Amino acid sequence: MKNLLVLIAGLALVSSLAGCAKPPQEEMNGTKAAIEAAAAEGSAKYVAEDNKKVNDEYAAALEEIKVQEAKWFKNYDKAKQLLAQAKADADALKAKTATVKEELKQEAVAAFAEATTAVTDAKAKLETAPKGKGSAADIEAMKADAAGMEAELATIEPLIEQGEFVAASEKAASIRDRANAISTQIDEAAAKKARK
Amino acid sequence: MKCSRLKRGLLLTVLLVVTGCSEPPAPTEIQLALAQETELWRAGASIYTPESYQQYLSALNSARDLYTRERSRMVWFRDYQPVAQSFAQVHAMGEKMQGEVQSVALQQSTEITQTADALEKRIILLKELSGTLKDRRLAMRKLTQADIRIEDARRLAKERRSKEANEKLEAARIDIDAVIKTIRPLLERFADRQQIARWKAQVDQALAESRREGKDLIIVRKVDRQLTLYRKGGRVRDFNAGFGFNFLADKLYSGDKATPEGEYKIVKKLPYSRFYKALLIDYPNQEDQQRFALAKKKKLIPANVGIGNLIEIHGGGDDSMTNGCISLQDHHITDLFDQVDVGTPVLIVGTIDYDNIIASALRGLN
Repeated sequence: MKNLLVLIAGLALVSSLAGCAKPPQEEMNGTKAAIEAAAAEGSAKYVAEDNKKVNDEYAAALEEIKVQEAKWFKNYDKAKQLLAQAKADADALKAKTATVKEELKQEAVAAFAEATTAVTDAKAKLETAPKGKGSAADIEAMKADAAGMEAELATIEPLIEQGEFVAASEKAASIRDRANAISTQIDEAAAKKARK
Repeated sequence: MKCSRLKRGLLLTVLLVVTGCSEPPAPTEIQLALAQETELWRAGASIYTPESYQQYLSALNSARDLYTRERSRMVWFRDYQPVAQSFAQVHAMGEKMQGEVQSVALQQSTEITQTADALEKRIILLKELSGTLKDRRLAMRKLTQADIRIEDARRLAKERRSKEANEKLEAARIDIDAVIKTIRPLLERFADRQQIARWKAQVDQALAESRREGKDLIIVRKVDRQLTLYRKGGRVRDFNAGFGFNFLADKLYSGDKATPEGEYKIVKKLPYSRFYKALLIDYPNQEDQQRFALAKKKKLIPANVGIGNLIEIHGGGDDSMTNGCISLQDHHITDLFDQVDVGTPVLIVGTIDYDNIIASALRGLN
């Protein structure tokens, strides 16, 4: 009987000690903050796949905490591990987001500069284009084209400011190609005229 | 007796610990459902089928909660059968949704592509018309802007941003419509069968007169960009011709850069002209003066402008743009100059072809 009482007391002690284990609030807060920091950097926009992976990891960690909370014998070791992993990945996500974002921004800025130069060059060439027979109407049409490009060029900087780097790059590339096509046409016309 | 009970109790505990401590494996349906959720997310379910996706997520969360509850039970009380069933149901729901997502994505993408194609077709039509007619009012910067916006829309559609893509297409449509609205009044008379019939009657009458009186006649058809020399009603030669910047309009006043329409005659031959050689015609004729006076009275034209003069057939190139004159290539004006005399009638009409390029383009734009 005495042994039985000792066993029960021992179990009660273990049970009470284990039941008192608290959820890893500090780790939860740290991971959540790391994920929010990555999100603030724009992870969902620039590295969506990685962003989802980290959020799924965090959700799995929270599920593990729920499991343990409902248990008599709580053990948050696995939850802590999962949270630590999610936090490390969130930190890496934030860094990766910043890198990708900066690369995209640089590409957009460069594309915008190229497009601006191309439009400026095309406009300058249009001013000095050979005004031989048959070219006046074409030059007028190309001037209208260049004016349209210039107007659309003005929408690229706001795109960059809004962080729409891919959109800005693609639009700039399209305008650059169109402007270069005008310059090529004028160069070809000038070369043709020079040969005559 | 007591010892025996204690032993049995301990044995039972050991048995439970030994048999019950090994965690039963998680149902395979869980991994399948979770992988499927990622696939649905990648496919853009939240964009294309937001309501169904919310219902799906809600069902998935319920299944996950059930799994969490089962996991929180003591090992030997866990029953994963309902969990497996629940995840299997979510998976079935997701499979159905995958088809729905693909279908909606395809539908939206097709709609955007079709709208973009239709708008691009109108731009091409307008640009071709501009290239053929060489009227600067057709070459508008708005068309290039619209073209770039359509390209934006196609890119946005690829990024599954259908709403923004449709907004871009709408902006492009507004620009194109504005261009068409501006030029339609200029173009419509070239598709007006009654107007073409009037021009045709003028041409027939002039040709009959040339035939009857054995005289030369010059007929200019603006839409065809042709000047034709007739002798005794028979065609001698066609020349490609260029016109005023705004040749689609009938000349009304000085500086409108339009080429006049009507019956004129050569009043002077200029062997040395700024544009090689020139044949001056008697614009404005009486009809032009009446139209000008009426337009001025109705304040349709600026108060301080005159009716203009010095409309010539000259050299300088057949598709260069003039201030209202008719221009030919230099060797063509030489040929024409040598063949015609002062007094030769010059009839300038829009077109005599009912199915001319403008009429056909207007049908396309409609």
